[in-house]
Amino acid sequence: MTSTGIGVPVRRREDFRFITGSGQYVDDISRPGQVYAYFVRSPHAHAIIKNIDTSAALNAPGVLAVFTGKDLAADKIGGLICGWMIHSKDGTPMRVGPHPALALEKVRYVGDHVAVVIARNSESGEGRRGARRGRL
Amino acid sequence: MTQVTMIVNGKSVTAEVEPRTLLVQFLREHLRLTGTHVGCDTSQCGACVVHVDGRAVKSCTTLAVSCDGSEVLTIEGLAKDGQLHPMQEAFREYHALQCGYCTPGMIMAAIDIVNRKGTQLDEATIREELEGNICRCTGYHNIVKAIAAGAAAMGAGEFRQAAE
Repeated sequence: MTSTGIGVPVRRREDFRFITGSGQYVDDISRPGQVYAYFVRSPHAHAIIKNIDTSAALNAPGVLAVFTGKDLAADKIGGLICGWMIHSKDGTPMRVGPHPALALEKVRYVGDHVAVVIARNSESGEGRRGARRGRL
Repeated sequence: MTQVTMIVNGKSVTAEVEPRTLLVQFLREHLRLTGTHVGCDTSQCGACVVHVDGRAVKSCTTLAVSCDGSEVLTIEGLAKDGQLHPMQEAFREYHALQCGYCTPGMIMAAIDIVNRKGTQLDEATIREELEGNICRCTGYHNIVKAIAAGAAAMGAGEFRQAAE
């Protein structure tokens, strides 16, 4: 058995950093000047977006930028793709509704992403508070 | 701002913090000990478990200032002189982790189980004692095996985990 290696347990290479607490998960990363993204989410289960007032968030200390679905569309940033497209017998692809990264026109569930606030995260949590000031 | 002093992994640290700072924030953001993880906002998942004065504590629900004068042990403080703690070895040996996110909390909780319940742990005891730790990857099967083996190894070795 050992000559071929078949059936022999193989140690994982990544375990050491996880069992010693030295993994680098996204929130563990700390680079000078790094900024943070905070998402503003819909409190409504199904609603039309009439207006997004970003002024309060933009004026909050620590906030660098605020983006909505309209900004992404203007920059021609596409939506979320379907991970596994299937096709009909004649080759036509399945019909998929749009899944913009930030909601456009309508929110469809409580928690649907409406806007993203990019902020510096000072110790006093300025960025976080700036994000909360965004209003729908 | 309030001054807080504690011994973390054997080293004394003093810092000025806002009184509302959680112990997990203090460890991760002030001390850059990012091995302790935040996994929920509801004190359920146990990814934040550390030892304070010898007892397992959920650091997401503990204020840093309440640990003033205390001794704190995190996952980073387990390995001594490059040698892994038997519980850490057991987790590796028994494939008790996949993504690894819950693992520091699991290991710290496991050591606390041994400190309280001894080194001969049966499956039912381990599963009950792990109620405060959630894992999304493994299905707990190998975690339970690892903890039983790690506990026995802790009993076989000369040292009892220095939660001190």
